Amino acid sequence: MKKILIANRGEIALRIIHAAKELGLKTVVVYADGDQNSLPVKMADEAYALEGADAAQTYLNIPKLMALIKKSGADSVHPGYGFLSENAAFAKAVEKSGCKFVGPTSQVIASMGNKLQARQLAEKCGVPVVPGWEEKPTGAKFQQWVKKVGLPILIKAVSGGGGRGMRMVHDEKNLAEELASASREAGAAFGDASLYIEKLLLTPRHIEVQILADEHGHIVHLGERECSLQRRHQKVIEECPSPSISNDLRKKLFAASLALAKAVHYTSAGTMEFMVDAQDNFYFLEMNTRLQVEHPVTEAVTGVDLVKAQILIADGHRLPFKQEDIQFRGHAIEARVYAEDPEQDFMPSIGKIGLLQEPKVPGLRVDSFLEVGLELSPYFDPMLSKVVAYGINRKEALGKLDYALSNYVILGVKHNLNFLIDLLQYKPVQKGHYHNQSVHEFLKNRAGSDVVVPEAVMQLIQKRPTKSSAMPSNVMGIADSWLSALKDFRNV
Amino acid sequence: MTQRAHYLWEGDQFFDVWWQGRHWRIPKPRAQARITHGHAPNAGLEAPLPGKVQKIFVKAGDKVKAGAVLLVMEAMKMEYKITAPQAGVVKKLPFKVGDQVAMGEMLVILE
Repeated sequence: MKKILIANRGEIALRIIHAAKELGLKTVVVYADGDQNSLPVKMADEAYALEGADAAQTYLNIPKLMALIKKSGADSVHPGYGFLSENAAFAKAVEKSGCKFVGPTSQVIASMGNKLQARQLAEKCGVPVVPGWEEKPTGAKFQQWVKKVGLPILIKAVSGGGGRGMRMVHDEKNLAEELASASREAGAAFGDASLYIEKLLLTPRHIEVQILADEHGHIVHLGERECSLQRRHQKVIEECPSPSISNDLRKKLFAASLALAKAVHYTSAGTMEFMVDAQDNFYFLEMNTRLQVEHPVTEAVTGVDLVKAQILIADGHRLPFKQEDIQFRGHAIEARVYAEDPEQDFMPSIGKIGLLQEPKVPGLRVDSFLEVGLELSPYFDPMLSKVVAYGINRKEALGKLDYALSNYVILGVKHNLNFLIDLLQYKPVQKGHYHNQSVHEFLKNRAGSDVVVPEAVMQLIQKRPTKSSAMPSNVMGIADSWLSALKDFRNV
Repeated sequence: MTQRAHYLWEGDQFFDVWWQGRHWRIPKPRAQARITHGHAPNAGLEAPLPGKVQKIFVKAGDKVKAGAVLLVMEAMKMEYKITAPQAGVVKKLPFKVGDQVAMGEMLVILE
């Protein structure tokens, strides 16, 4: 491999560019209309326009991507996460073109991407799955099944991921409308509107296992990640190792993951997702045949660079380590910074970054594509960056993450930093005893916490220079004339 | 003792301030007027983001209860429900299913 095309944008495109350059590869990016001045475009050796604004016209457009792969002379393609990363048709087109797809084979993506087939494979391997309905969700038999397992149930997209096309149903009278709505969303997001249904576990933990496998039959696991802090099936905070599982359960999850990966002859990086209930029963959920957003926590604790490993595996190399060589050391926690408004039900927000100061602390990693002047596009996922804190134990990692988030300044767009800081202080999070409803429980008691603006902030605004055009916008404001106001400041 | 703040006055609608580890977004006076008069019948019925109208559940003349889902729009690959802020009668629906809408456009006029 000599030249790699990155079929993605944002922080992950940047992450892959750095890994590929480190390995001596030439890098190529492709970009949508709004992304022409983005950091990935500036950092890559070559950049090609996809000509279009939204995802369907650009990062999801297989014909355009294939044409640019050919035009650029790239010999390999990294899909990142999201977009076409789990699209078997794209992987197959890349394989057919003679290029290397950085990921598993199109055949494996197709079989694991179909959530139903993956479920059935798990059952065949003796790995437990949640009770589910695998046929069309209509008719008397389906109604009987719903009665039998009881509400609530969870509607899922057969070709889904990332919470899209997913609906919880607590009341039978909403079932038909939610099925229709999930089907529309799944069709729009994945081009496949088909659904399947599972019994909804009420307060499970979401734990996943990272796998790496080469093309020579070697498979290792790189430990688990605890991803239960989610809001509407979108992960918010992830950590490695999980603070809540026993070593006994850990071993069972690793064994199940390795068995599944072997059964499909998996290659590249992949993740097995499990639900764990309060009694420590575990159920296979799905396999993600790609790099995960939260891969940095595993990298911090194992020291393995997963993106470089993916590239080297795709280039035919053997894994340079065996299972027993992998050491787990310390603790890592990641928080995802989103451009969304916690006060308005986490509505995605757009805007232009006017001022930016990213925290720089030993043991801290910020994966970000932010820079001053960046305009956020309404067409793409609102994730801005990931802040990953590493500590020798969980306590140190938590403290470092809190410090980093409190010293991360992003002005010009509404984001969730205050929310993340508050969530970290939530007792169940501090103690490490939480489940996938914990964020919602936290939010019930948080409403309105940022509504009261401190007196000092109001004074600063009132004393701003009246000629705003004369104000340099991107300077750090040193509080001076309003300092006296701080003396009267009451913490609200 | 010096305390640092970071601020941005130039936004279209907001003053942005970072102070003591937290961010504050304060609507500029014009935007604030809109919010304080937010109990006008159509507050909350503007498109929250640029996107596409995906489904409309009501027609002109319909009586709706507070909290009723009036319309679903799609933006950033997610669906957003637009609900009635209070009971009223649907006066006008400026858009039809499939229409692109800009941020802030009134999606439903209630009376």
